[in-house]
Amino acid sequence: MSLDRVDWPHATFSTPVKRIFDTQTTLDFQSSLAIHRIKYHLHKYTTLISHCSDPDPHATASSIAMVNGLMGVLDKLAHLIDETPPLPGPRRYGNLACREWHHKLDERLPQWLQEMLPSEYHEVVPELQYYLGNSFGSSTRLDYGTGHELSFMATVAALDMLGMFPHMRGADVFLLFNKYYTIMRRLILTYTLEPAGSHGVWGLDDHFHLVYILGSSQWQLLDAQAPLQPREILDKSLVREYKDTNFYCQGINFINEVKMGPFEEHSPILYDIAVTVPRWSKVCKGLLKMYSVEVLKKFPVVQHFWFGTGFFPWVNIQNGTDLPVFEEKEEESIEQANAGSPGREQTSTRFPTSTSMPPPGVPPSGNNINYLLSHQNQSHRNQTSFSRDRLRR
Amino acid sequence: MDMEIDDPMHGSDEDQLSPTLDEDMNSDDGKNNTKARSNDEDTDEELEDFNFKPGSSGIADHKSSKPLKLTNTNINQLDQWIEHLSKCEPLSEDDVARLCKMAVDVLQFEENVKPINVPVTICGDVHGQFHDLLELFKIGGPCPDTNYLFMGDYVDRGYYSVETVSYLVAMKVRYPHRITILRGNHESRQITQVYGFYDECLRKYGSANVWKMFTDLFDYFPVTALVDNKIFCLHGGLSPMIETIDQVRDLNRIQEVPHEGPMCDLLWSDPDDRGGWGISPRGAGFTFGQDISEQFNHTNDLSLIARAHQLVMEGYSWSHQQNVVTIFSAPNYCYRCGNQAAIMEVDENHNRQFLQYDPSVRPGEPTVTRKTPDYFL
Repeated sequence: MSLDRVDWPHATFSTPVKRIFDTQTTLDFQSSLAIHRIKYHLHKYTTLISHCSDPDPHATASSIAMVNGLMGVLDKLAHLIDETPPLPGPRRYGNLACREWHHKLDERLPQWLQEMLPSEYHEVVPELQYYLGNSFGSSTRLDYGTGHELSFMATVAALDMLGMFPHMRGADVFLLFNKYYTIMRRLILTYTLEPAGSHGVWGLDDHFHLVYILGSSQWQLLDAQAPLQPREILDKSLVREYKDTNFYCQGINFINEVKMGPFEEHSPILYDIAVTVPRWSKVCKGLLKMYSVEVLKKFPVVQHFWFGTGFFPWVNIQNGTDLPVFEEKEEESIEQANAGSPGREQTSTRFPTSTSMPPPGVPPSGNNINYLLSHQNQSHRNQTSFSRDRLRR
Repeated sequence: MDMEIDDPMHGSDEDQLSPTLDEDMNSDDGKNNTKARSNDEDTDEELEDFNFKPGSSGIADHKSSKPLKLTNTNINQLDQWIEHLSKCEPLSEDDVARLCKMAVDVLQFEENVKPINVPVTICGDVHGQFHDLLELFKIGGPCPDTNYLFMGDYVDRGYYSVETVSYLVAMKVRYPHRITILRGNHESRQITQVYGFYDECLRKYGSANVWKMFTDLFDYFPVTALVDNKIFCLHGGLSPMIETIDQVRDLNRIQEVPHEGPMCDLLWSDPDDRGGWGISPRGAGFTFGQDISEQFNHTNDLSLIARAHQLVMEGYSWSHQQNVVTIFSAPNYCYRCGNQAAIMEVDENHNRQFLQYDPSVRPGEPTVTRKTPDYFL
C-alpha cells in the first residue's frame, strides 16, 4: 500500500473509530500504515518548507485550487469565532462558548467539505471531517495540544493522498499552516483553552510542536545566512520582526505574549535548544526525533487519533493485515450513535477495574439515578476492557 | 481588578486522567525508539516494570515501628537542608534519600483523617512554583510560628517541583505538628510521568531515582484532615462511596492513587452547580452538587469542606452556599493564567480570613542550568 497516495477509486472510506486504548495499542500504532503515512507527510512538508525561507506574509492565494479551498473552510471557521463570543464571567481555562463553537463546526463542516471537494470525491467526507473537526481542540475538556495539531496535518495529508495538491510548494505548506495557526491562537486566547496533556514547563510548548519543526526547517538550508540564529530567538524584538514569515518565531512570539516570568523558567527546553544547539538543521532534526517519541509514541496524545479505512487505516504496514481490534469498537459505535455526533472525540476509557455501587442511603433523586446509571454503563465498559486484557494475555 | 465571583459551572478541567501504565516511561522510550520489537525488548520492559513498581526506591525498607524522634543531629541536618532549599537549590540524591526515609517514619503514623487544631492556615495547589511558596510563607507567617495545612499538588507544571516538595517534606519532618501535607491527585506515579515531575527529576538528577523516592513517599501522605472536628479538608472532593468521615478512616491509603473508588474520588472530585452526582470530565472522580455537600456536612456535623484542585481567579471561591470553599495557591498558574493565589486563615474562634497574593517578584536572574536536550545531541 502506498504512503503518498490513496488507491483511488478503489479505496473505501468510513467514519474513523478509536483503536488506541492502552500502551499495547500505542505500540501497534507504531507498525501501522497510518503512522507511516503521517511520518511520510511530516517529512514531505518539512522538506518542502525548507525552500520557503522568506514567504510573502500577505499572500492570500495559491495556484493550487484545493489549497485555496481548504483555506476557505478555515476562513469560515474563523468567522464562527466572531459569531460565538466568549461568555461573560471569570477568565479561567475553558470558556463554555467554545462548546457552542464546536457544535456549530460539527453541524456545518460536512456541507463545507462537500462544497470544497469535487462531487466525485464526496464519499471521503465522513472520514475527512473527523480529522479536520478534531484539529481545533477538545470540546469536552476545552483544551488544545499536539494531538490536535497532528490532526490538522493528517487533514492536509489526506487531501494530499487524494492528489489534491499537485506540484505542492513550500509556499503552499506555509499558507495552509499559517492560516491554521492564526485561527488556533485566536481560539486559545478567545476561549482560554488549556494545554492538553501538558508536561508544564517540561514539555517543548504548551500547545504546539509542528510549528517549531516547520519554522526551523524554513531556515535550515540557509544555515549561517539565516536572518536569525537559534540563540537569537531569545531576543523578543527580533522574534516579533520575523513572526509573520517564520513559524519558529511565530511560536516563540506567542509564548512571549501569553506567558510571564523568565523565558528560561517557563520554557526551559526551548531555552536550552537556543543556547546549546547552534544550527537550524540540527534544531530541525532534533525536533523531528522528539516528535516521533513525545507525540507519536505517547498514549495520552495519540489515544485521540482515530482510524478510518481510507486515509489512515488500522492495518500493518508490513503485510497489510488488520492490526488487533478490541471489543470496544461495538460499544464506541453505540455510544457514537447515542451521542448523535458520529466521529467525535470520546473521553478516554478508564483503566479497567471493578467499581462497587455506592452504599445504600445515598439520597435518591432523578439526577442520582441518571448519573449512577451512566456510571453503571461506564462500569460495564470497564468490564469489557478487563476482558480485553485477558484476551490479549 | 473587578472580578465576578467564580462560578463552579465554569470550572476548568485542569487535569485529565489518561491511563499511563508504569512501563510507559518517557526517557526509556527515547532510548528504545530505534529498537525493533524483540524478546530483548520484552525482557527490558519487564525489568523496567520492576524498577518502576511501588516501593522500588527502597525508602520504605526498614520502616521504624515508632514515630521518628528528632535528635539534635537530625534537627541540625534538617535545618541545614531547609536553609539550602530556601535558596532554591535542590538537595543531593543521597540527601533526598535520607529525607524521604525520615519522612516515611513521620507520615506512616498519621491518620487518614489527620486531626488539626485551630489556629491554622489552609493552602491549596502549589504546582512547583517554589518562589511563590516562599511568598506564601511571607504572607501567612513563617512556620513553625504559624500552623499550616497544605491540600496537595506540590509537583507538576512548574519549574521547581523538586525544590518545592523537598522543602515541604523537610518542613514536615522538622515541625511534624505544625505543618500538615495532604496528598493531591498529582502525588501519583502515573500523573507525574505525564505532567512534568518525572521529566524534571531526570533533568535535575540525571536518573529517575529521586522520582521513585518521592512517588514512593507520596503513598504515605494522609488524604484528608479535620480541623477542630468542623472543617473537613482534602484535595478534590466527595465520593458516592463515602457518607461518613469514619469511612475515610477505614480506607487503605498506602498505595498508588487508584483509578476509581473512594480514595480516587477524594483526590479527583469537583463541586458542581448541578445537583447530585455527575460523571467528571476529568475522567476520574465525580462532580457533586449542593445537595450532596449539604448532606455530608450535616451527617458529619461539619461547618465547611475546604478543598483545592481547581484554578480559581481570585485564589479562593465559595460554592454550594458556603458549604464548600476552593483554595488555589499557585499565582499566575502555568505562567499564563493571570490568577491570584490565596490561603485561608482560621483563627481560634473559627473566624476565616483569606489572604490573597500575586506572583513573587524575583531579584536578579534565576540560575538555570544549560543542558542540550537528548534529542539534539
